[in-house]
Amino acid sequence: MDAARIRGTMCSHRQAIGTVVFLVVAAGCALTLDDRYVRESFVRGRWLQFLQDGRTSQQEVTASLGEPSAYLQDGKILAYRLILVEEDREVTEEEYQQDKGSKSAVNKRRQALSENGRLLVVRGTMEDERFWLLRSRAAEYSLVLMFDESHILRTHSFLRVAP
Amino acid sequence: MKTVLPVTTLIVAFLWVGCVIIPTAEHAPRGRGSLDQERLGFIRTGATPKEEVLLSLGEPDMVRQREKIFAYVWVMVSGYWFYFIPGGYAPPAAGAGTFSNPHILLIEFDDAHVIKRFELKQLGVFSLRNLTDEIMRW
Repeated sequence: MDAARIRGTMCSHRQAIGTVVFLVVAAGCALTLDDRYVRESFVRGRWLQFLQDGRTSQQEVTASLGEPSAYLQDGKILAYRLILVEEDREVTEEEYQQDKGSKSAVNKRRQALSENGRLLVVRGTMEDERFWLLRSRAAEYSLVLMFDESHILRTHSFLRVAP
Repeated sequence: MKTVLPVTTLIVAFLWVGCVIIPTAEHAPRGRGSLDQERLGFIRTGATPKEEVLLSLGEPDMVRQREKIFAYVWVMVSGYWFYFIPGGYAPPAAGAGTFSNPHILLIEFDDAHVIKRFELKQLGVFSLRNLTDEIMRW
């Protein structure tokens, strides 16, 4: 009787361990990337609220965002390629690799960036840095601004390009 | 007999040098998100102005000939590969990767900044390095 009881107990222990392992694996698979903090609407509201068609001047834009990634149509159109980065420090390669492998780490970083991050302009002139920055990005955006003859913002678009 | 099968399996497994290729439908864009037909529906030759292109698709990935030609590039995954090389004199090795299909949208504008012609190109899986050449040749 004792032996049978012991076998029964071992069986239920194995089942319990199996269930826990299954739940842990299932939870890992079910975890998805949280897009809340990288959506255009969030980023626009968090960092680009100052952009108002018919009001914002070109000078105000460059004062806030810096020099654009490109000037088009004789400087009447400014194009910014933007990424979200940490405010105070650079992301190490190790951290980036961790982000790459774990959805949970990516979600944590996105949330941290929503609180303490900033938009950085990626320019063609900083070749090596550009490559590194693009690899460490949280998300990439394209901001296109069109100005009238008085250098006042006529219309603009803000798109999430990648990833 | 009981030991022959596992030993044989083990020997075969260690001698086996394998490469597995799993083709899939195109998915998971890398870099710029996919510019599918739905997103490009607004483009009309002789009618769509450059401003509308910029507002709808964002900054191009490459600009040529004094803004006459814009190129937008994105890459889709079309399959996966895995390999395993068992150890012998050298240590064993294994690896995995994806097959990537680059896509390019090329647009040419006329002097009035209106679309003169455009072309959507899908390049082969090994042509990622030739992207710039492909754009320059157009």
